[in-house]
Amino acid sequence: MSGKIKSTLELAMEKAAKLPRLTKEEIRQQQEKEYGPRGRAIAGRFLAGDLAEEELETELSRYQDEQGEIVRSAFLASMCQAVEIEDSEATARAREGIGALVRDDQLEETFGRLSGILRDYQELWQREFASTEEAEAVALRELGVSGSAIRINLEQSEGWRARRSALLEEFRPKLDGIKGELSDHLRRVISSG
Amino acid sequence: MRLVGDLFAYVWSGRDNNCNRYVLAGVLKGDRHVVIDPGHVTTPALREEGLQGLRDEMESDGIDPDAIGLVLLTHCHPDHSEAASVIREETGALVAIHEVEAGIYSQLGGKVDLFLGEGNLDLGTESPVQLTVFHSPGHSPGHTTLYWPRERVLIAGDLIFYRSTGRVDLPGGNPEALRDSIARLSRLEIEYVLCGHPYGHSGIIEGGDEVRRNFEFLQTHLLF
Repeated sequence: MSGKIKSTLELAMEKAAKLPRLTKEEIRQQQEKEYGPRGRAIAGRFLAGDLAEEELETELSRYQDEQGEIVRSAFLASMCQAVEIEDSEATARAREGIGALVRDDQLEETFGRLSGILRDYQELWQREFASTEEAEAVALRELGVSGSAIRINLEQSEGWRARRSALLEEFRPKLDGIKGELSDHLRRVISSG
Repeated sequence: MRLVGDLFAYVWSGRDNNCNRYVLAGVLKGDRHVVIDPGHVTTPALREEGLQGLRDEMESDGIDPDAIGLVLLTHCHPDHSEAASVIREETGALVAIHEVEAGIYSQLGGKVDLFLGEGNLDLGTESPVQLTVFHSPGHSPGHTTLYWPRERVLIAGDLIFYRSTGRVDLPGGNPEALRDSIARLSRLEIEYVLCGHPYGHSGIIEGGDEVRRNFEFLQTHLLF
């Protein structure tokens, strides 16, 4: 037996050297695991109104280069997800969040079409709501219940539920299509720096 | 027990807590009835039959308990409202309660078809029973009372009792609101006060003088 006795550090370094090296893709995945949730957390705070638009840039600027790209991508993906046909408040906030990071003609055009779909949905929703309410009021009068003390709770009405879900069935795919386009566009913008 | 016109009173006679139940029989289309505060399905402590007891009493008065078209709830407390869900499920009756109570009532598993607020409520098509609904908070924030001017009947829920008032120590209770509600209702022409519970009394205060004396007693001795 010959040679010098190795220190613990030397042994550890030898072991580490024998470990397989991470590929670029694996490094990226690890970074996404670490920084993706940070972007989603910033998005959550922004959507909840806990973070103002002017504070957003400061928050996001803590992360640079590849990490910054991951955080921004995760933030924007969360904004796209928050666009919801029946949640105009979250949708407006999501648009603000996207607009704070990205501004270009294509985005404006996509936002324009998004607004059109939401407007069409709202108009039809109101029309359907009013006509269902009227039909329910007629049925109620026929039963013998009427007067100013009574207001129909349409949320509990089978008729309204059916009409609303038909409306959602019609409009959700349209909205999902636009959300998909929006996500693709934002991903391209972020990855091109 | 028929009280006046098509109005029947079912005074709770069990040992556990439950409310008095009132029925406007056959006033709706197809001879369907309106039940006001159906009470517990089964009382919580002694497991006494609440709803089945009501059904039996209605049947003995010749009122079909399967033909209920509307349940009016004065407030959401389970001793007044629990059976409403079962009635709704079994008979297809609509359930009405003040919007302020609807949130808690829903948390207790109830479904609300109609919101009940201040105004007129006509029950029936040809010669309807014309009620006035009063928002009368105090015992609970969305408590309502029903007044039938033609017969001078006040269905008081848990606002007032014989020589007593509804408690205000439960969530949403408010002594000032209770006082104001009682003062407001005391100005009505009333021959019958139908109370929500038979506390030491049937809970049916009868006769204009007796009703007035009761209001005076409450305002002199009990109203804070």
